[in-house]
Amino acid sequence: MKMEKISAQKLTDKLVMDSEGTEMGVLHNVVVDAGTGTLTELVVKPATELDTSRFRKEGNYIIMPFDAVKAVGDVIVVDSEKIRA
Amino acid sequence: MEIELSSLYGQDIYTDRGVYVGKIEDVSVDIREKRISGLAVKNINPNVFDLGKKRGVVIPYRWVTAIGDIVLIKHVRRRVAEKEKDEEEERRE
Repeated sequence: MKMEKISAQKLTDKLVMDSEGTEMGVLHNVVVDAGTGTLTELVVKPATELDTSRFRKEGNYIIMPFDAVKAVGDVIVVDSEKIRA
Repeated sequence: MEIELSSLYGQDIYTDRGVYVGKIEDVSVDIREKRISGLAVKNINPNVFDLGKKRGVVIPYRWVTAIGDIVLIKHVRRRVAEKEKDEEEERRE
């Protein structure tokens, strides 16, 4: 995987796509376990055309497990099998 | 405790002996390991880190002992920024 260490500020507002090429939205924030520093969840501002009914939601945002992240490059690619609640 | 990464930006860092270290400017994350690798700190207290011409330092996340309204790290003797950078490089290999 390209770019293993990356600035979190640069991750924010990156486009999030699933592995089928569907646009999920843009990254709003990342949830971490403060004790261990483990990245646990992505908080994504969903694209307007996205059907959010199958996602876990928090306010206007959808939540995805960080485990779903397959690659981070110009966009963030998430595994379509792992992102739905 | 679960926190959002953006809540760390701008937080003050102190050592566990109460010495001011600096302010968090950014967080370095390791995508493959799925964890925070370090805290990029600016406004550094010159008594804690000798920066030379550098603008800030990256503090390894394993130094962090507590995160709340402020962030605490293990007490460090005055260090040279260059040395920290070398340690960071070593871990990468």
